[in-house]
Amino acid sequence: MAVHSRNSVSDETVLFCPSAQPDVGGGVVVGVVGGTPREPRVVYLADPVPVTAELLALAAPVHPTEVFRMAAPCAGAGCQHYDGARCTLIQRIVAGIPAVASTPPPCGLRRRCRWWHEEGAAACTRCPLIVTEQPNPTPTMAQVARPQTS
Amino acid sequence: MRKGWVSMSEPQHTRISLDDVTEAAFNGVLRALEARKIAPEQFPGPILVGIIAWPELSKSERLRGSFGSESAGPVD
Repeated sequence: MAVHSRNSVSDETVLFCPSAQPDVGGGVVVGVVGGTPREPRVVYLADPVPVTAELLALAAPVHPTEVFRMAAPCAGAGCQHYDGARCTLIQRIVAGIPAVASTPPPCGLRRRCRWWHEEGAAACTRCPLIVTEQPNPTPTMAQVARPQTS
Repeated sequence: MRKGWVSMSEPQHTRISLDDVTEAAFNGVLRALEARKIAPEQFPGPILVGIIAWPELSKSERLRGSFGSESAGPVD
C-alpha cells in the first residue's frame, strides 16, 4: 500500500503527527503537559524520546495522552483528519484558536512535524496548549477537534 | 478574547531534559486529575485529538538518532 510505504520511520521525509496516540508504532514523546488545569501548556523535551511502557506508566492513573504529547508518523489516509493532502486538524486549530506564544517554542520534532510543514509558525505558536486527550472541552474546542465531513 | 484562555506571555520554562521528565510527568498527572474535576462550562480548552494509526508501523526504537541534535530548537 502506498501510504504504508511512506510511513517508514527510518525515512527522513516522513512527516510526524505531533498529537499521536501512544500505541502508534514509531512514536516518540516530544513534551509533557504542564501549566494548570485551566491553562495547560506543553513543556517540550530537549530531544524526542521513544515511547516505552515505562515512560507511559508515569502517567498512571490518568491516560498518557493527558500527560504526554506524543508524535508518530502521520497515518495519512488512515487518519480522520487527513484530507488526502493536508492535516485538516491543524488548519482548524490555526483558524479557530489564538496563538499562545509570540514565537515558536524550541521543539525537537519541528523539522519532521506535519503541522509545522503545513502551517509554519502559526501552528507552533498554538501547539503548547494542545493536549491530545482531555475531558471537558469547551464547545469551541470540541468543534475544532471534530473531523471535517465532506 | 476569552478570559483565562489565551496568554501572550511566554512560559517561564519551555524545555526540559530527559532527567526532568519524571517530575514533569508527576506534575502533569496532578494537573490532569484536577482537570477532570472541572465542569465543561468552566474549562477553557484544550483539544481532543485522535488518529487511526497503521498497526504495521515499525517500533519506536528505530527512531533513535533519527532526529539528531540539530533538530532541537526552532527552524527559521
